[in-house]
Amino acid sequence: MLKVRIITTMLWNGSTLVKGNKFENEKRSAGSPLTTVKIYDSRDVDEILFFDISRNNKTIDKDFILSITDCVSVPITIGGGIEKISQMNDLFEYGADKIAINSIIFKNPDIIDKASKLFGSQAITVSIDVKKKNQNYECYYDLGKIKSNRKLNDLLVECVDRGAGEIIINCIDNDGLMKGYDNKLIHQTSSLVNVPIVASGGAGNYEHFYEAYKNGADAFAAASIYHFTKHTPAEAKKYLLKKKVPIRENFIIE
Amino acid sequence: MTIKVAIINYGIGNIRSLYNSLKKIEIEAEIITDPESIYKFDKVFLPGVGSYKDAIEKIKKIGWDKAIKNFSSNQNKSLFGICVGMQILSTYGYEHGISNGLDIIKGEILRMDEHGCELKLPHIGWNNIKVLNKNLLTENLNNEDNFYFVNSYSFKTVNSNELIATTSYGIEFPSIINKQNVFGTQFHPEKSSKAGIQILKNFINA
Repeated sequence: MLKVRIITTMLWNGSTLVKGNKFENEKRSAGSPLTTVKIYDSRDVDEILFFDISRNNKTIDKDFILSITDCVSVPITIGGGIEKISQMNDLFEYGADKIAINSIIFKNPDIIDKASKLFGSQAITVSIDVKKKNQNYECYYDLGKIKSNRKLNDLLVECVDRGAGEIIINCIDNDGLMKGYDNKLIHQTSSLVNVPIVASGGAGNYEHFYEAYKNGADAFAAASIYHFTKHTPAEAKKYLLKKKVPIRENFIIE
Repeated sequence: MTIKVAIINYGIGNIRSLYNSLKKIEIEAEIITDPESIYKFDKVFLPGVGSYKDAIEKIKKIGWDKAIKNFSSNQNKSLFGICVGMQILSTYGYEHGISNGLDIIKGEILRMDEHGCELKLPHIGWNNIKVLNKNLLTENLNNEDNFYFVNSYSFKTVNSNELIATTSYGIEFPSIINKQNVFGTQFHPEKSSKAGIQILKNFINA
């Protein structure tokens, strides 16, 4: 049986890992990327999300990316500021298993078609950042700074039609607060499109993962809970296993 | 005598992560691009991602097909195909039109929905194996162990004794196959954390 995934999110600002609230990330350092990625990998996380939020990555820093991907024995998705097929090409060559794109889908949505044809849908993840407004969601880009005029449902359907193989749905209002995911948002997204949904933004305890699971999430991305609390991916798995959620148990030779 | 290990680089596949995984078990693999060099090695990996047709065309263009077949006809050597690298060991593949494979392990490669799978494709993520025939590759592994998969096509083996383990995703499909000295996994051991390392170790130590 296919398992749901526990994912750790890492935000890189060009000199250190950071993690803040509601996309205000500069205030709180979250350690060195190499040490952190090694710890996550050794603790049997299912997948790693690595976002470069520096916006200095017009050309991909080969040595830096290789230093990260060389430490990882699980799949890694890399995103942040990707606007060109050539950047994706480089990232795949340097060990990325998937690419996550966000801002470019508002400026040049054709890139989803091109990238999914070239690399396969399974390698192209679209990340969508939203804020709540009344009873609706507004879609943002450029690190949550610019509001688009796109309706969430239309955007989701369009991305998947164009070939997105997975959606990361991220609630900016809940980001970093550790009070739980926006489950209504997860439910709305997972009922609408038939690709895996990664819940993002707000996880603060293991029950939050379970709630997202019940609302249709296939994977649970989280950062603060692992950076700033004693919670670990391994403990999250134990909790979810008790709730009969299909989880990859850590491999131990008997 | 130390075991000489190589990874075939024919322009396709995640070679670096396989190389890194082997390093974790203290194997310094050589990445080879010349078919004639294969005979120097004891254990050879045939990686692969992307489409069957693309992979087999590249293999044949550089002359790897003959080298791989000659290499694997020597029972003192062993071959390990990963993902599409396993699929092209078959007789035929039907991805983007029919193509002839290496025909080392009898069988054909069909899209999983043509086998009856009604779930969404590609099948991507962590899934467990079910061991049908105990094998040196499954040493220290059991049915609850999970591996990382990315596939829309699956192997249909002809000889049931060559089917070592299956995985369930709408259908039961082969996830580990073996014929004599030739092994294949549909999943990516190099992306499968500790369980993947164990499989690589089993292959090297066999």
